[in-house]
Amino acid sequence: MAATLPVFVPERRSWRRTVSGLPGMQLIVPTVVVLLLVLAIVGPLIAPDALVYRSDILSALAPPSSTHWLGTDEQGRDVFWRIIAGAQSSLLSAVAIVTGFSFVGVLVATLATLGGKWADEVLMRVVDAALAFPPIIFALGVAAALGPSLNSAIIAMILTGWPVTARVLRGVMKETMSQPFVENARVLGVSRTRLMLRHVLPNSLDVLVVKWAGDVGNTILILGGLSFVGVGAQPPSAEWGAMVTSAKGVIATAWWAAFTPGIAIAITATAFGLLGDILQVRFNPALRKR
Amino acid sequence: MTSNPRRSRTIARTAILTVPLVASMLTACTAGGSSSGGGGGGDASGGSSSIVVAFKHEFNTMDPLRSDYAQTNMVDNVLYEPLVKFDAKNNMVGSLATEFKLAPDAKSIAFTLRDNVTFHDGTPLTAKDVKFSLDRYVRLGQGIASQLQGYASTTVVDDKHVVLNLKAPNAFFINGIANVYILEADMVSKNAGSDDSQGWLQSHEAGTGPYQGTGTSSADGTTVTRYDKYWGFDDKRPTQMVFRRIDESATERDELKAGNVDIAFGVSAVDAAALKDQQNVDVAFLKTSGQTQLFFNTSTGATANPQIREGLRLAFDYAGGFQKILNSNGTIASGTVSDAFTCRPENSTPSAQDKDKARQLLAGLGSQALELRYQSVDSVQTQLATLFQSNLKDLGVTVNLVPIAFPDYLKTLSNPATIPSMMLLNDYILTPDPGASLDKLYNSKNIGSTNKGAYSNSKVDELLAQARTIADSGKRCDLYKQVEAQVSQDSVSANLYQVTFPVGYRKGLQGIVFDWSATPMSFFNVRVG
Repeated sequence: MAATLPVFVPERRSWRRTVSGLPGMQLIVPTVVVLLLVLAIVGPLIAPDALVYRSDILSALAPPSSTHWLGTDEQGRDVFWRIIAGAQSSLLSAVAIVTGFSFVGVLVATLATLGGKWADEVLMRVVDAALAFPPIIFALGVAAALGPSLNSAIIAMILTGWPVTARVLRGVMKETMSQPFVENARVLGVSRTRLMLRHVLPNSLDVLVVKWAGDVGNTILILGGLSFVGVGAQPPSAEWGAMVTSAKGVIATAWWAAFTPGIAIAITATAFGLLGDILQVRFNPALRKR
Repeated sequence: MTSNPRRSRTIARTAILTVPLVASMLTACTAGGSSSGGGGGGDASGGSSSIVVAFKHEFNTMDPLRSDYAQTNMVDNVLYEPLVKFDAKNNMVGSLATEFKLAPDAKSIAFTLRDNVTFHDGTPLTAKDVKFSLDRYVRLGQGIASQLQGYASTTVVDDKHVVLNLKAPNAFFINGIANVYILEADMVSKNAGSDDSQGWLQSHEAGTGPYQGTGTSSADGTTVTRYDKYWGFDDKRPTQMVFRRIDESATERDELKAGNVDIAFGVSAVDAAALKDQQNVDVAFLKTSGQTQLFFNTSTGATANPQIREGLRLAFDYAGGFQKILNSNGTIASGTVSDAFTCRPENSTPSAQDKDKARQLLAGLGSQALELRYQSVDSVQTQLATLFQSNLKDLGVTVNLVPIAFPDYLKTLSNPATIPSMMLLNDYILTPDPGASLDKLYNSKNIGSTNKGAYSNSKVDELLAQARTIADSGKRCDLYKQVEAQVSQDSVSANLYQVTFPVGYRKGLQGIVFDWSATPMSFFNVRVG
């Protein structure tokens, strides 16, 4: 009877176990993130259209009150409901951007890993070239060239975000390829494509999940920044960065109009940043032991 | 629970990312820091005195060729002088010229130059400087050359007499001369280089004005000092003016409050209101010759229909916008030109909203969406555009707001098909005689260049052609009124508000008033004490 080589397959991480294992404070962050995502989905459905988008100019810049919990903006629109409605364009846009550039990054990294030396060299030089552009300047240029809008900002940020993902993931994939369980699978005659899809990619994406959470926070900030300089969402959008922009001229007299969407951006960016951190600790045994 | 250094670093990184946003907002709430480069608080006691002027946007050059830029003209207005200018009562008066006369056939203008005028290097002004300056502007064909359309040549009669010859009868021409500065021929020729002195004049000057340059000029401003051999010397003029670029209104406001700036030239209405209670600061709201207008494309698309244009015009909440966006500063527009002008139809009434009539007129639009272009760098324009969008949404009309940079907008004028269906902008008429501007805006000959609505009406063309040949200003005024009435009837534009500039300044400074030569005010008029 021929001897068979033992095949080591690493234990898959369980999301449920990861979350349930979070003690105390560390449960709050994922909860906040989930609440934000739920808000982004249902926010526009529950926010009254008239209070979010219709100008009531004679009620402009009313301070917080029982009628308008967070006051009104310079057009007399309710700031609270605009923040609720704007969660979609702010948060889901950020998720879409991160998903978009992650997809492109994974694709490039996979091709670089699978395609042999030449494909790897060519793709990595393309990545080097793309990384040479300052991302904010490049995003500004692309968004301006496409015409100022939220969609332009999303496209611009996808185009600027993928190289880092590709670079990081390619490194992880190369490392995974040298793992014994991959070597064993290769010896057993598993095809390159199957090897990639069943063994390398699933065991390399942990790092991407961690990066993804942090990226959402950063993306919300940059998206808000693009709207702030006028190349992102346009009036009457309730995108949070655009809200800060439109109220920046009255910040001395009506702080609530710019400050509250600013706080929403800060909370969301922080929550996703912390989530990334928590996931990193959970997924990295070396960190977990500390 | 033990602390995790890596987690702490990540938290710190997250905080670093989020703090700037919040901090940038809070910065606006705090007093501006100490200034650098400024004169630091004007000494308004007369004698030796220096004032610091805060202005907005990039200062590109001091070359009077580009005095069509507000920032350039702001400085050039005290370094250079034109042949004639307008006084506070809208009368044309001499500046470098003491006498001027439009020929009865409106084909030439004769000027007698003032005695005892010297350029800043001591060279006396002569007729050849006038010829050199006008020829240079026309040769370069940019900027202020637009005020010299129809110029043929200059005849130097002698050192003190000069005649400007026009290609065709043009009674509008002399008004444009009030915006054209005279340069020292020899000095500029000597530094001509390969670009006709444009590079040299970027940071040097060759004028006759009450101030002279110091050779220190950058995108962030410049400094000028009083020229004590100026023909109209007045020791109450500040001895030095420092022009300092500050783009943020809140920073200008705080620098003024802190005493680091003496005149804040770009504060918003809201920040100006916040300055009103300051002990050492006054605020003036200068009504200008400009008007905020919504120009319609009268030749292409839905707005080619006069009924739709009228409906759009009636949809806007003028009173609400005036009260809440303009803080009730200025006036609601009541015609095609602002009430800074005397040549206006007598029965002009302020623009007003009429929702019912607007709804009726706009019914023909169906579900067609419109596009409104505006300059998003101007927060007031953004607010007005947003209000207009909401007003029309109330009437079932969808309007998409699309920002556009002003140079890009100017390019759209080359083809009526590319002109935005609606364009919101502040339009300025630079002289009390609106003839040249009415001609540029509404004469069908100017479709493809300066006619902002691609508007064509043969009656208007005839009236303007007639006005061009009449030397008598009173008779021309009657024709202008007819042009304005017709343009208004055709709803070429929605006339929103007279443009009013808030200016904050140190108490004790005088001469903070509207002036035709530089919008909204001329530093030529500023006095201390």
